[in-house]
Amino acid sequence: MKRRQKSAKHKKAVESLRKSEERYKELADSLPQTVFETDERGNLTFANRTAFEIFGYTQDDFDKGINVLQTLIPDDRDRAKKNIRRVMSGEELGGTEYTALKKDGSTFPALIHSSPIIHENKPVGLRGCLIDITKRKQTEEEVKSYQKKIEALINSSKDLVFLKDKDFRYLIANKAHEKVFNIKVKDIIGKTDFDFMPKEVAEGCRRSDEKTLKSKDPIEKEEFAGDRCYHIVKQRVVDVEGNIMGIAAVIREITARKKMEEALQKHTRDLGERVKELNCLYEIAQLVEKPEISLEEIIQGTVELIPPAWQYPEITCARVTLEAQEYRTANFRETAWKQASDIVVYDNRIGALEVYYLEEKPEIGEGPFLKEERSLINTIAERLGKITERKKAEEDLRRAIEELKALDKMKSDFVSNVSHELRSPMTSIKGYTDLILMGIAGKINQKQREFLITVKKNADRLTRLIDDLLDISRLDAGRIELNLQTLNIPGLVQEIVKSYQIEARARKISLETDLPEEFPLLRADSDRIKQVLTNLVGNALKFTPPQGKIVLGFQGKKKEALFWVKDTGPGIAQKDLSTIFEKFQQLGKRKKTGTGLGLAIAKGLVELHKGRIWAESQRGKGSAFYFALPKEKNGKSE
Amino acid sequence: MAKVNKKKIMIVDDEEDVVKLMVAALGTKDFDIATAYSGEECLEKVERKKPNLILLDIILPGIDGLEVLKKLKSDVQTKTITTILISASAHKKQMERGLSAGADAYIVKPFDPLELKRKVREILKKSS
Repeated sequence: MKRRQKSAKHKKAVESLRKSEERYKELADSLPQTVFETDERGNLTFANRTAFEIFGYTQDDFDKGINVLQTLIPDDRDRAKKNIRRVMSGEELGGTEYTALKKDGSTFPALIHSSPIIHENKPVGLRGCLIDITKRKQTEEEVKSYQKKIEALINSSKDLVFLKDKDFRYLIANKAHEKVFNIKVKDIIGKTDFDFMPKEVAEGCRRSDEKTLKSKDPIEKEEFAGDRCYHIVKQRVVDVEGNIMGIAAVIREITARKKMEEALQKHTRDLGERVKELNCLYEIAQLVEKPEISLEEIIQGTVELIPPAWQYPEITCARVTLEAQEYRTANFRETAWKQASDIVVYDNRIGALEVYYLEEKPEIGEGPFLKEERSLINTIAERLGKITERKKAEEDLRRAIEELKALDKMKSDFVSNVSHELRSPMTSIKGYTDLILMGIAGKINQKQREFLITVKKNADRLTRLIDDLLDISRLDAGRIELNLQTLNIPGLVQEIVKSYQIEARARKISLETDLPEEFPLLRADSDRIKQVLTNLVGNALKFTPPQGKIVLGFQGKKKEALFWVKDTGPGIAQKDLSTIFEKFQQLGKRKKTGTGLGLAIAKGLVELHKGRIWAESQRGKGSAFYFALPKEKNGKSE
Repeated sequence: MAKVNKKKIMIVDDEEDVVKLMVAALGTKDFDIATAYSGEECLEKVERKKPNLILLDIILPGIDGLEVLKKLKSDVQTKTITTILISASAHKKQMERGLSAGADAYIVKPFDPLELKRKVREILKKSS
């Protein structure tokens, strides 16, 4: 009974144990993770259903015996063995990662937690669970690879790229920081700017970060830090819920670009200044070339041209002081911002050019005025000096010319007056001689007649000389006005011939004409042309010996009307041909009764008609004098 | 034997020699001659003397010959008097101006005495 009781009790206990084991097995089988137990040598003593399913082993395989190391790839087994020993000795390892090996040879990442099975204070085996971490590994890989891509992305940029939290600590910074700040990226993360930047730079960054945090829109600006210039874009970063996370920024160094831009700007500005300067100088030159402009007007004009050529025309004024005379722009006022240059004429400083700014312009590095403006003011001052020199020279010349003209007029007036004054006594001399010759004062004898005729002849000659002097002086002074009329050419020629015929016959000289059938219309001063012809024929008569011939001719050419007087006189030497038309040129030693002015007057009168006069001759073969008057264009003649 | 109806001539010139020369050239036998040595004198005497012809020098002290001519021509009493201007050829322009102002002829100094007389006769014949 006792045994039975005992056996029943045992049976009940076995039953209870069996039920407990079943519950344990059921519990283990219901878990999605592999759960296992081994003996002290690692031989599996229990594996749940999931273990069988995952690893692909059968009950049969299990019964034959599986060591836990078989479920790992060979490379992991040594480490596993060591770990098993450590766990058995009571060490807490936590989860250990291995690569699990299935029956079919495929593998997967696994995390194993294990602990020793203690029996009577002794470790007798191992109990653990294995979790398939393929998914977790994958996620981890993905995150890592994404991180790498992001790193590659931000590090590919030479710009500074970073993300800070809202306490201004670096969350992300790219490699570009290392070069700029000479610090490793890992040493930046978690730090603020104050940890690795100069204080004043960090303060500047902080101010802009604070501003960025407060602004919805990105902040973009260009900023100098030392001698370097940066283009900065900062944007506050907000998470999915709309909470402010921090600040993201891209900062690009644009020093080179900025320098180029500035150089270009400077060039453009310089070019603009050059153009203004050139324009100023050009306009001064234009001013100077204006006819009839006085030195005073030039200087005043120049002073007014200055402000537009300076950098700030609206606040520029100028003054020229020249020999105690002042020329100013309307807005002129002396200020502290001044530029000046001396005006030098014939090596003497005779004045100065000053340019003032009416207000300070401190933003220019070189002082209030540009270096170009310094050179421009010098150029203008120099130009003013030259202009003054030139104008003074012109003035002197003009004065000299005026004096000469006045002198010339005095001379002409004198000759004119003297001629007139001489004429009245000549009238009396000639007149009374004539009266005596006429016998009005009583009978005269032959000798007396002869002498009186000589007196009369010389009086006539003197009269001609007076007339010629008067003409030449008036020609010189340009005081002969032509009375232009249509010329009766044959009439004129006949008149001359008639007036000289008696004298010609007396000297046994043949005086002939050579005239065409038709005559062109010619406008000229009849009396003056007659005077020219009279001079030429008179000359010819004087020089032509008896039995000679004089021909007075005319021919209407295409553009000119040509008159000529040819004689059979002694001719004129080649060397004299060019000088015979000058005043007081008489040829030969032989005294002839001329004034020496006849040809000069003829030349003057012909040229007054815009014609020309010349002589052709050969020694011993006579002379020919020509003069040609321009013909009126058709329709102009009346 | 004095001629009746002798023509009255007035000679106006500031030079006595020239005035006398003209008087001699014309001859008091043929003409009744009055003289004046200035423009003012001429104008003063002209109404009294009532000459048929005036020989008028252009260059005169005071009122010149052209002025005298204009005054004569603007006065009804004197505008019909025949006038011959006399001057040097240098004053040709003035003489031409004189012709257009009403002078009948001009004579250039120095003149031929015979030529003077001939011209005076010719003009007097024309105007009578």
